[in-house]
Amino acid sequence: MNLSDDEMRKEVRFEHDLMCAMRHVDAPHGFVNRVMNAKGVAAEPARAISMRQTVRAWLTGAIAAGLVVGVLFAEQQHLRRQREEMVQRQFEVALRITDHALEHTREQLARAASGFGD
Amino acid sequence: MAIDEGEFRRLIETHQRMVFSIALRIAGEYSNAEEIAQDVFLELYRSGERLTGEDHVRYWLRRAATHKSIDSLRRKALRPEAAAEEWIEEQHGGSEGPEGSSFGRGVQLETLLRGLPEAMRVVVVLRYQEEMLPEEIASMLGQSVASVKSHLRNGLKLLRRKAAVTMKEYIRESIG
Repeated sequence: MNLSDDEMRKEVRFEHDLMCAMRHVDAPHGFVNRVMNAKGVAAEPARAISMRQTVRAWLTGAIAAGLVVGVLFAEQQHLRRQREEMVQRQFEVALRITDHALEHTREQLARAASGFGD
Repeated sequence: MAIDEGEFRRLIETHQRMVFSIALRIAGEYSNAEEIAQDVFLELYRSGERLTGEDHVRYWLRRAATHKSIDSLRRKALRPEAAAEEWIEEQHGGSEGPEGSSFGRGVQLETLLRGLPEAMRVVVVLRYQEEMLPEEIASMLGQSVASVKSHLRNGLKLLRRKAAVTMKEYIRESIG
């Protein structure tokens, strides 16, 4: 779209007016001091912040590691207990079978002895 | 590396007007603009960024002020878009400042600027206040040059139309 000379002149003038209207304005009175004070209270130098972040990261890591170790330990304990219970059950079953077998043998021997006596 | 206190004070003194003006014209509220400007300088201090030379500092501050102002605008959910759509109704009952003088004209243009949609307002401020080229604005905002030029063109068009309805000197021009 081609603009006429008049349109172009108006456009240029408008842009010039806009540029004049948009000059930098003064910051509120006392701005510099307020920022300097806020810096002292709220802001810390980057090194202090990064140090604190490092400590926090290590602490988080240590807690996480502790939790993992705790969970693994509990699981190991649980497995060990399960194994022990199973062994105990097997032992009891074996004992019952043995008792049963012994009883059976004893009965047979008793029967054989009484047959012998007759 | 943290900035030395004396150097930090000097940077604030040198650039406070620029940072505050960007925040004021993009975010649109005086008290909010001061808060944004303060945040920008505190971030500069905290970041401990190694800024080499005045141009680098100016670029960093402009970018931080622009992005913080946009964030603030979005957080507050101000909707200049709505104002832009309803500007005719608003302006019919609006009061008028001292006319004819460049001061009055400036105030009125600033008022009209506040009614622009965010995307247009940001590029208009960076172009006409900071005198940045479209390529520089595009690089700072992470937009394409074509998009920046389009926002600029549409922003100016909208401003001129508003001015043609509400400001005497432009009414005369548009009639004449």
